[in-house]
Amino acid sequence: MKFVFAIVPSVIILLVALIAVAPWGAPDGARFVMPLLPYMAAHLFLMRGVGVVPSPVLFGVGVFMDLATNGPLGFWALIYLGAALVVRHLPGEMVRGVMGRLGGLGAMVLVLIVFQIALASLYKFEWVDWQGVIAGTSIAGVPVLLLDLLWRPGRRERQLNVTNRGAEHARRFG
Amino acid sequence: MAGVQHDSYQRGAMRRAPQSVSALHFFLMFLAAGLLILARVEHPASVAIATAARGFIAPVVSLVADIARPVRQVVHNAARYLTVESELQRLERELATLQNLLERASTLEARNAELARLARLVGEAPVDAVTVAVVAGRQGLFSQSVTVGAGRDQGLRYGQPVFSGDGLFGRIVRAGETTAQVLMLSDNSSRIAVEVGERQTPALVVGDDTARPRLVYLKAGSNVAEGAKVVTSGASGSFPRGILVGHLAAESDVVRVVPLSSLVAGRYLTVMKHEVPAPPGAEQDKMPERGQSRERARAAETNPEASSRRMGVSP
Repeated sequence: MKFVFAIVPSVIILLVALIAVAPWGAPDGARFVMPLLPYMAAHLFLMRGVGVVPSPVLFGVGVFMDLATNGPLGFWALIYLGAALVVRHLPGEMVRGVMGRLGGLGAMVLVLIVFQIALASLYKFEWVDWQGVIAGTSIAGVPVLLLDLLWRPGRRERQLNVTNRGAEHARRFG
Repeated sequence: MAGVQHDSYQRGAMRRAPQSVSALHFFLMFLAAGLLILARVEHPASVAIATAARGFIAPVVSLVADIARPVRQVVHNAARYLTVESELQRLERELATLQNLLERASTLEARNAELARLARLVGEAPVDAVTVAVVAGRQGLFSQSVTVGAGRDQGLRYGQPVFSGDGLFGRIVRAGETTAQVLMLSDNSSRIAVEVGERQTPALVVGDDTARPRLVYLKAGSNVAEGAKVVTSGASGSFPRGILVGHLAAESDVVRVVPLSSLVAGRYLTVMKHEVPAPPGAEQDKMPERGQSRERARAAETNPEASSRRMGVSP
């Protein structure tokens, strides 16, 4: 059971990454949204403290996105890991209840926007399309918002919240 | 103690335990930053790793693309049904114009053939072309390129022009063994020497990450009208002369080119196996092997591959 608990988030993040790189025939603006979807899946697990999101998985998926989107190696990996670092350091009070988690989501979107604009502008030595980044990242946050509102904690999650096992697992595997 | 924690949950207290961040996380961040710096300085190791890794993941990405194809087709068809009425009217107008042009073209073609015969003009050799599948599209902030599922093994080389539909799409900037990266016209590092209008005024098409690249270095006072044809000049040797790029469009104080090719990559692109002169000091694996493509073209003339087709490059 512990093994399943540890591996399910990683499998879901990998599946979302594969879905994100597929050519769906989406409008041009979707190119700002799709590479963020794997991190959005990771964010749900990070915020809920359910399951384990290992850093190597975030790194691997980031490099995969770099390769699949013809970007420079390390760009998405650094964005994902940087955002995860911030989310893991959010104060516990901030993610209490729905409003707190919405605040966490807002903070994450802001961090992603700043990271993307700063890193890409530094990389290119010119300002990138910041309007596209802001719109794309905000749109990418919508599925997280909806899932978070619809997510009802299961028995396992309730147990974890009670006994604080999530922290143990995170310390052991995270 | 357990009772206190249970009580804490019942009151809706903290539902997420603080998570520790391991040293591994910081190590991976430094590793990612290092990779990014190496990519920025275009270190040969970084380029080699990226090219090899793209070849490695290409089958996976291609498989995902195949799975997504029916959905893509449904979206495409739905979009077409929404615009079918206006599209029909546009096609009827175009048909009327084209019928007039067809008559003129046949007269001009006959005259051209007669003049070529009188001048003993040697015709341009046809260039080999191959159709390749797009395995990874444009996404993210570094998105003005696509990956195709063919590389050096299929005869693709640095600099070869790539077409989508009827017009120029971009050129190959990196060729791995089984995949190649195509830089689009719209990328801000793309520069293409062109000629504009009937007077063949020289200029440069410069990408700026928009769907309509800019036209620069157009001679002041040049008498070119909006809608004038923009074709490659062949001045740099990277492209054959006369490939249609698009039409001129004025946009406030900037002159732009409306590409004939849709810059949203479809499922397939066509690569013209044009021999590109290698710049001095260029890397061997990125540059074309001189003489080889000519030999291949000769071989293809006698025994054309099933996937290749002939393509005239005359204007």
